[in-house]
Amino acid sequence: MSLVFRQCLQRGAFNLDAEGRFPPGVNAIFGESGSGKSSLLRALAGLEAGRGQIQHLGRDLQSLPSHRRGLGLLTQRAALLPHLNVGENLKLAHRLGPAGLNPAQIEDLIKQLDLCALIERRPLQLSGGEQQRVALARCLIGGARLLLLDEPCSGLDHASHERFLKHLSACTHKLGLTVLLVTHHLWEAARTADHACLMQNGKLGAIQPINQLLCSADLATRRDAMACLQLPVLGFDHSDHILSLELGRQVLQVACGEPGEREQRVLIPAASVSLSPLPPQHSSALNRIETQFLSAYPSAPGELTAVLRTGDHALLARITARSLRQLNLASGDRLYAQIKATALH
Amino acid sequence: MSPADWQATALSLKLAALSTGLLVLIALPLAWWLSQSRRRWPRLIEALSLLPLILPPTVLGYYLLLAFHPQGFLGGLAFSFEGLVIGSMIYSLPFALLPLRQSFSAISRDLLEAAACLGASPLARFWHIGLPLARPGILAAISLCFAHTLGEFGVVLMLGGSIPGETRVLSIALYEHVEAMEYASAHLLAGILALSTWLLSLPLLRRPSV
Repeated sequence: MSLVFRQCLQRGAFNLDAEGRFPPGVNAIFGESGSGKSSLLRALAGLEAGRGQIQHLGRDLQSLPSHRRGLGLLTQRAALLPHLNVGENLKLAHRLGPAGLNPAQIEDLIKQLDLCALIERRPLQLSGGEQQRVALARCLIGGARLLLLDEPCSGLDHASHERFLKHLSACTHKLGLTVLLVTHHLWEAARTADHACLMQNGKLGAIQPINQLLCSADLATRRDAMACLQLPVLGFDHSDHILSLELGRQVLQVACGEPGEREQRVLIPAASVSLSPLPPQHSSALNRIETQFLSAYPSAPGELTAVLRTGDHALLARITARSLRQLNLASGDRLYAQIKATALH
Repeated sequence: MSPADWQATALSLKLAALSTGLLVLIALPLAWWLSQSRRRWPRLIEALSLLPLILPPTVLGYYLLLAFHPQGFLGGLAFSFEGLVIGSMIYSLPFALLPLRQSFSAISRDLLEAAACLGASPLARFWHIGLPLARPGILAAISLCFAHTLGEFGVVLMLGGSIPGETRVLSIALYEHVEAMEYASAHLLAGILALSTWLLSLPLLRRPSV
């Protein structure tokens, strides 16, 4: 484990008592507003006087002030220094940080985050998405190995949001970071996180692989429920722009503008999966995945989320209670999940 | 202008420059500390430092005279230029502290917290964020203190009297010209004071650049 902590904090009637053990990689923390996610990150950063202990890579952080903890905190406000341009902001962070990156790494980071064209600009001349990318670079350039992200993308449009997450994933893996990403968007976590946990009333739930938590009763019943799978790429059809992924012994086809790398993460919204007991014929949906029905959670009046298994992977399908009754499903039944290639992203 | 008036003008400028420079140097860290502290007792210190704003100058001058009296707390400084410098600094303290404190307090806490996480110590935060972002406040503090010291009368009169070359500053010289009914000279000195304080107020009209 890279980050191990226990933090207690009392603020009026609110009581934070969170214990966590997080591996390297992106870890998502889900929670309702007021569940204590931001307070937890602030306590870890030393901005709130949390009691307890914090160990990061074997180093004790609890006794250190914020500026010696060697971590990066990024909130929805990029907080770049307005009197310095982007390059100067980065230079200052490099000088202040615990172990600044070397020139080759800096060049790499600036390229990776697409900042070359922004170096001379002042923060006020940047869009929200650009500001957040600079702020991310600023956290990393000083050598922080632990990133605390508090809903960094709220307020960004969808394209900037996607772009930020893509950059975040790339940097995390390249620099071997440990990231805690506080979010309430399922797709944000599904896109980037390797592990996730829930936060409720100041307490942190057990950390689980991301798809396991997405398919649990806590999140599968949400309206935006989805599964996310990390699958090996089989090939890309350049004429049809269809990416083929290996799903156990089956193939999952994804409509996709560009060929992926060796592995691709794919998000499967529960609402775009339909179920059939027989192999569907003549359908426009490209994917007919053989699955096993495990259980169903009531998610809204007259609606359920069915949990399916195919090989080692879990999937979700949102169906009506009437469909469930008509199909007369029981745990262990074989079903075909029809998934439109265009619904996957 | 008579040589004595030239001397008074030069003395006034010297007094204003010295006391403004020293005062801003002291007020900068004090204002920063007041703006960053979340405790209560610094408020008490802030309230004390604003006292010269409401005390009548002659009352302040009187107490300073007692302190600077040969047997006083800071003995031997009465009726000396050094005494005037210290007196002016105390008298103008609120004029330096208020704009600086306000500029520092206006700096977003997000900026300072983000910088702290990036590794900026409290001193580095003051240097890299506090000072550059408070530039309009620093300019205001300098021009207010300078103008205020140029025109002060009550404290100087109580504390320094009118020793040529030592404590006879412009405002005292002006007063003495009026007493002696030398209205032409009085006009000239009053004009110099009015024009220079007006010029000093110009930096206050600058629009913030950030």
